Amino acid sequence: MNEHEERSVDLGGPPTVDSDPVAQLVRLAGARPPVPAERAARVQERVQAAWSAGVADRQRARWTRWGVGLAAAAALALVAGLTWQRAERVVPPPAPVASVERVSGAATITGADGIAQPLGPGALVVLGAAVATGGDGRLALRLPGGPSLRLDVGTQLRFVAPAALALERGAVYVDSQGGPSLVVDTPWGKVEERGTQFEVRVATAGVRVRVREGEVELAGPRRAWQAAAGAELTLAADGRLSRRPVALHGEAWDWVQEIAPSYRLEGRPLGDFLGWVGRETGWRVAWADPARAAGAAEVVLHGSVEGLPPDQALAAVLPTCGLASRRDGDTVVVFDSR
Amino acid sequence: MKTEGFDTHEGDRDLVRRMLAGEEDAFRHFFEGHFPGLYRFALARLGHDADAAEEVAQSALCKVVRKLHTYRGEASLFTWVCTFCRWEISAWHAQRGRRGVTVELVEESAEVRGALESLSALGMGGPRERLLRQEVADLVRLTLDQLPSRYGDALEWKYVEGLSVKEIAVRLGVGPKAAESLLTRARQAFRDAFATLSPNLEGVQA
Repeated sequence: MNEHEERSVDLGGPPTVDSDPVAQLVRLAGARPPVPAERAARVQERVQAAWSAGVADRQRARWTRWGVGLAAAAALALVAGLTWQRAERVVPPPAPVASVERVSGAATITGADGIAQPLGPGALVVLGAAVATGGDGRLALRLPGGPSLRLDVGTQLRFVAPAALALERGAVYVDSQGGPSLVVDTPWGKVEERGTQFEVRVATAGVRVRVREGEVELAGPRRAWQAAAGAELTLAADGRLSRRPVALHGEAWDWVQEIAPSYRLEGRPLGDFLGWVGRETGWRVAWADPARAAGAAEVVLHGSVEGLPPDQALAAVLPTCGLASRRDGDTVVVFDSR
Repeated sequence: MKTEGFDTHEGDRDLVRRMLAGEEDAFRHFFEGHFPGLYRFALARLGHDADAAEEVAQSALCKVVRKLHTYRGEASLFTWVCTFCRWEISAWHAQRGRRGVTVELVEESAEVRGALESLSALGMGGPRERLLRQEVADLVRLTLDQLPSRYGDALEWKYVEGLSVKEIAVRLGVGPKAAESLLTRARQAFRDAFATLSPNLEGVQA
């Protein structure tokens, strides 16, 4: 394809005579051809994904160094406090409790000064600060120890402790990924998880909890309820609870996939990649030939799926390994295509 | 957007600092200000193959954004980005078993001076003449892309679209005197940049 064959420049015509050589040259060249919008959009999406990942990497590295520094500083402060107990109290800066992994649309953080600042990849969220997404905004945060926290459009929350947040409006999705448990407090009840994936959505009429994996406890003012994977609880403002089943994948979880942090493919084993796809989509990933599963750990992947949602990443990666997949109910079956 | 801090590259350094801090606005300015020029830069070196130019420009920019922390402002950001693109172009040719660009660009040719001087004598000409015009046009576009964006735009509006200074002033959101002054600076910047890209060209001496 070569749309530039249709450039308006008439390079074959006689050059315009002009006393100014700059004018002569610019006329000769004609207008610079614009880049087709669809090409620019395609490239911008991929480059922005690479840029966001780079910013997040650098921020994480800085955060790790900062954490080590903070630990050392804390030890020194303890010693100093013991030896000089009359020292004036110093108010420490707010502690970071999460870092921004991905932003889509508008997202802001408001600190103690009351000034809302836009959030970008790699930014730190500190204790007590209010985090909000706009009507078109979604946000993915990473907490120390691995949990992923995602905010849907129109959400506002505030971290009240390193692993506890107050959800004031909108919805969050938590994927603890084996890390520390997170507590989500809402005006209508408190949700505590035990190694799981779940969504909490608040409204003026109450709070709704959907569990995708593991188990959560929803504690209202007078009593608590448990919910396992595939269950949806709704606690109304008047204290009544309703319960119904919810699918583990599909439309209800689409927004979670849309703001999922990109998977770093380079150098990772196929088995790990398939595990990520299953975790993000809610599908069970199985091999048509179970004997092949063990070999998946030895297949090392190269390249990038940055910017691709999990289902598209799966479709892009499998053919490079001579594999294909088909949906069978809740299961994605991976098979040899050769 | 390329800034008018053309000599010091302070504007470029500031843009990079903001991108490293994760500012989305800075990224958008960077992309919108640099991608079109880079795409044309690649297009001219890949036989005007639009798909190849997209692939190469994307690959170069992905590497650039990963290496932003190494930018020192010793050259303009666009020039720095172009060095990544040159490498990608070479790799693109190598992957396809080709021995580099078959069309030698004017900026890399020792015969440019005579070629430009002979342009006015060319008629419709044969393939060689058309190729020569194409090469010079590519170099002019590259030069315009290297300039601060307001300079490049103003020169195009003046000499390609034929706008008056007053009309250019309206587009730039400045007064006629400021527009005239900007055009003067733009012409000078063009001469400097063009001379840098093709030091043997005397056809554009003021």
